[in-house]
Amino acid sequence: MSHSGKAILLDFGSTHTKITVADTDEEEILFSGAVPSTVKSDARVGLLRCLEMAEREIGEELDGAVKLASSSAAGGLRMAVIGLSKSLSVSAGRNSACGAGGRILCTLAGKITAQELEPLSDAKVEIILFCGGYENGNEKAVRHNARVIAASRLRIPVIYAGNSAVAGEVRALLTSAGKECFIADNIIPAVGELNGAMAEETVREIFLKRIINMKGLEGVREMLDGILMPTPAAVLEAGRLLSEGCDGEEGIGELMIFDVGGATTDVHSFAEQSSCDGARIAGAAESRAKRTVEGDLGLRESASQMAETAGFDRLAAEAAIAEEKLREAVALRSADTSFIPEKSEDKAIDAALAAFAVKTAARRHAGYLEHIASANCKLLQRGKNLSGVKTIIAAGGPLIKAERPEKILAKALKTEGEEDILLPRSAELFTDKSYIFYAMGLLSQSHPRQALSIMKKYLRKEG
Amino acid sequence: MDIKLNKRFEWKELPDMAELEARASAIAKDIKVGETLFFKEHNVKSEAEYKRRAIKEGIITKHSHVGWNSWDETARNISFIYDELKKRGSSITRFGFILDWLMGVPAEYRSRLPKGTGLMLESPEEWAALGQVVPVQPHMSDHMIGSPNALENTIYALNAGVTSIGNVSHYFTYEYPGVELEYERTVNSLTAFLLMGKVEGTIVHSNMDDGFGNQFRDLTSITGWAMMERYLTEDMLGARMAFAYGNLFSDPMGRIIIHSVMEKLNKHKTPGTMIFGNTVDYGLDHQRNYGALASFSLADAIFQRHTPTGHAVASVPVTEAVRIPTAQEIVDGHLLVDMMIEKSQYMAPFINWEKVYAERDLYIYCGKMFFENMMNGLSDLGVDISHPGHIFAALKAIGARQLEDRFGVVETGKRGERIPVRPTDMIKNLESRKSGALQRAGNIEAELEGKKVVVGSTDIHDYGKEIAKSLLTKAGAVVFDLGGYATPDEIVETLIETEARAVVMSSYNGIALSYATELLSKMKEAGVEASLILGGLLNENLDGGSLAADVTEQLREMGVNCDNEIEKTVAAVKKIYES
Repeated sequence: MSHSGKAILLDFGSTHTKITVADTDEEEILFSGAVPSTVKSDARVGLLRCLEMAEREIGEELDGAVKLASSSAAGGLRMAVIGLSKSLSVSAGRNSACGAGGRILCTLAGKITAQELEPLSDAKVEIILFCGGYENGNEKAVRHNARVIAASRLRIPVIYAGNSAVAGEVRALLTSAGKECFIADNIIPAVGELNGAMAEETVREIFLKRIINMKGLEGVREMLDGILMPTPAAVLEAGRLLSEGCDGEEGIGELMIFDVGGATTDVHSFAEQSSCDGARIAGAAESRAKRTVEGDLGLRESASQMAETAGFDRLAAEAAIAEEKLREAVALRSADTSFIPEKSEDKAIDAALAAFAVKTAARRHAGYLEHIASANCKLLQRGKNLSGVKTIIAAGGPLIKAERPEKILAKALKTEGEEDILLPRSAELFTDKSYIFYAMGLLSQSHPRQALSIMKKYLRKEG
Repeated sequence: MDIKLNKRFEWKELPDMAELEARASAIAKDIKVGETLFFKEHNVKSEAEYKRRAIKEGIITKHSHVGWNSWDETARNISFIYDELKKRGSSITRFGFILDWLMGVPAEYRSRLPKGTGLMLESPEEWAALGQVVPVQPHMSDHMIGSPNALENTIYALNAGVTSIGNVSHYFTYEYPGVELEYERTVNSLTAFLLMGKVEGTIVHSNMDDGFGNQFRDLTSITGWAMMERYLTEDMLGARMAFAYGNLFSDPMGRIIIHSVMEKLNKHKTPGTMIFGNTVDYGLDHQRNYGALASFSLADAIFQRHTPTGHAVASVPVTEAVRIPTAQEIVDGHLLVDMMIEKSQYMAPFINWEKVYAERDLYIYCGKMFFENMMNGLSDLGVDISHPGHIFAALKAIGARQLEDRFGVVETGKRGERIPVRPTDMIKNLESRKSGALQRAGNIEAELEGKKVVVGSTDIHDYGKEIAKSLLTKAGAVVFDLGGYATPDEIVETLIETEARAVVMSSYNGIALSYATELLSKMKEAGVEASLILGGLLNENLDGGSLAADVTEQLREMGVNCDNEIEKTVAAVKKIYES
């Protein structure tokens, strides 16, 4: 690591290669920029263009500056989660996969069948997170699932994070069938306990050591000090730091981050799990940092599917245009995923789409109260209680470029008549206007205090 | 300081005391303590006034708790008890009415809780009726002061002529799952205490055994805690208070000692409310329960002979552990207690009171240290110890276990373990029941090696579950413990993750049948095959009847093991795994 006091922070996305130059001594952003992605041909081209831009800013200091990168190229990290009960191992597995920066394309529960595994190949899943059983708990169903995975034609790494009593057998079954198998700690070791750390770390390891090579990034590795993590994981790290703080600098407390993209909407929350109204908390334990990805909510690739769900008429009303026009606009966005809105009408359409994405994603991410008629309980809480969140932040292109981001973000808040959803009623709204969250997540690994001060300095209050 | 605070609300936002004081004064102006039939008959204006006279005249008063869930039935039963006792040359001084837990929260929140088995009073007229059926003085302790609806209930009760009202201890431990009103609970309870302080002749009551008292392991901690509650209620809030205790005291001499401790701390000589019966020794065998009833009521009467404090001697019907007792069973208990009171006069003079006082002084010495340590600890934590609301809330946030561990007086054993100065009977009892069950179970080692068992409880009571768990663990089983209030959904999900074939549940809250029905149907729905062993109090209020009936037979027909013999748990699980 260098002592130049400068850090070059890069992100290899599927459409852009982005760069942020930070001065860690002055705790400032010196420069940020982006060039079209060259990952599909040669990632080095885009990288060199970014570095040239940086050199214009900091000159010779570029050589001594630390250079770190994240990547979300080629559709991010495509994952499947297999577990036993929906609210325990499956739910914990999904939370871990998302927390590691993955995008979950398939989820299977209980004793699985060969047919159920088939869609994984079509969905181009890259890693399977295979869970199930408390420690010393279920063995039979886990063994059954291991056999089904072993017998499949899938050729992708499997991370086993279930009951360790059968870990050896699972490994034997999978490796003898030619599958790569990584054993991680059981994500649900005991009743009410959660331990996703090793499973998440393993996902990142596999991502860095193997998948990056397949994503055209092998060439850039030697030009950098490190490709540290998938982009969503970097954003998660930044959010964690901003919320919790570090030695010498306090965090800003419980918060949520929304990143609405072309294909997906990411939601991150940082809040201590607590019971709302004394409800009995059901299901797997929730970690303080949580990320969810909605694959059907996005402004380009997912535009038609989302508009269908939202209702064209409602979206048209929201954007204040005719329904017919909206249909055309949505079709255009699906066809041209790099479409950039220039006219105010197009901006209004994107804002309406983004508002729906934020509203829907927030409600899927947050926990809720369930009124039940059980013999000894009337109120169950499923999922995470976010009613105490005081800060909501927009990150990522469409939201930070929107004219009134606060109007879109406010859709995350709980409204009248929504008594059971565990979202806040009000919150302060901010944007990551300089698009530095991914960069600060990377920087936080070596310079947490500086990364935190920079984030606080550059967050922009909206509304 | 390494203390984990379970902070339920920001106590710094509580109103200042001057504001609450003003509110209480305004309410006090409109309070007119009702005249109960009891007051009329004895020509007094409060229960305290009557008690002071009884003390002078050497009368030992008597108490029973009553609770049927309709007012009509309650009224009919208390008339029967009064008449029947009179007919047989006996009497009863006071009835403790048990409100339903719904009454503990403001009306607009009641739909969030399942209806319990206690009394609902819907209007001032219904409250007023409490003291107008028979000349027996009503006492209100559950879901009153200490609950979120403290103030409203206290106002109703005072106007109805109820002058002894509980329960300081409930502030700390009574929960209303689904209704989180800690701020309101604190404000309303503080105002109610202040109000009680402004109404002549009233007594704030606190049952030690309902609160942190039953979570402490050391009797000296209970003593220090009583000092704390008294300091808050009397010195800081200006009310007068009396302690009840007894449920958890099984040793008759232990009762006499704790009684002398409590009376020594009663510096205003406020007359007592009642002493509860010892229910630790109550089981399914009614004859043995008669023995328990005789032993505790004799001890309580002996103390009243020697040091009259005004506490009524309670009769606990021998059927209490099995079901809600009938009116006749309450009458039967009183007749037995009468005999104990009569004979106590011959024994009181021969008790070694010097020895009792030596113990008393030890408890008080250690208790004072606990009290001082708590006050200093609160101050170190930054709690404003001039505001009683902050103290109440902070003590609750710290919790009994941490308070005792951090501030209590202990002796340290050779291996650094904590040795209570004087262990509570509960601790002694649980340990002895556990070892008794382990002993009776015989050689169970390795009987269940590696077999998986899910355990839990349908309510807060987890002693049965704990004993079953130690038996199962000793037998080598892998135990998955869902704790208290486990829901059927959680059990099913846990069965999926564990493949356990046996579920061992304890139930004491009168829902055994509906709980088992729901669990079995959810297991079937999920395609999970496991057998249920259910122990505890297997009863339920069926078809809207007022008495919870035994449901063992129905459970058995459903295939539930309800032999209710804890020492046979291991054998029963083994059988499930062999089938």
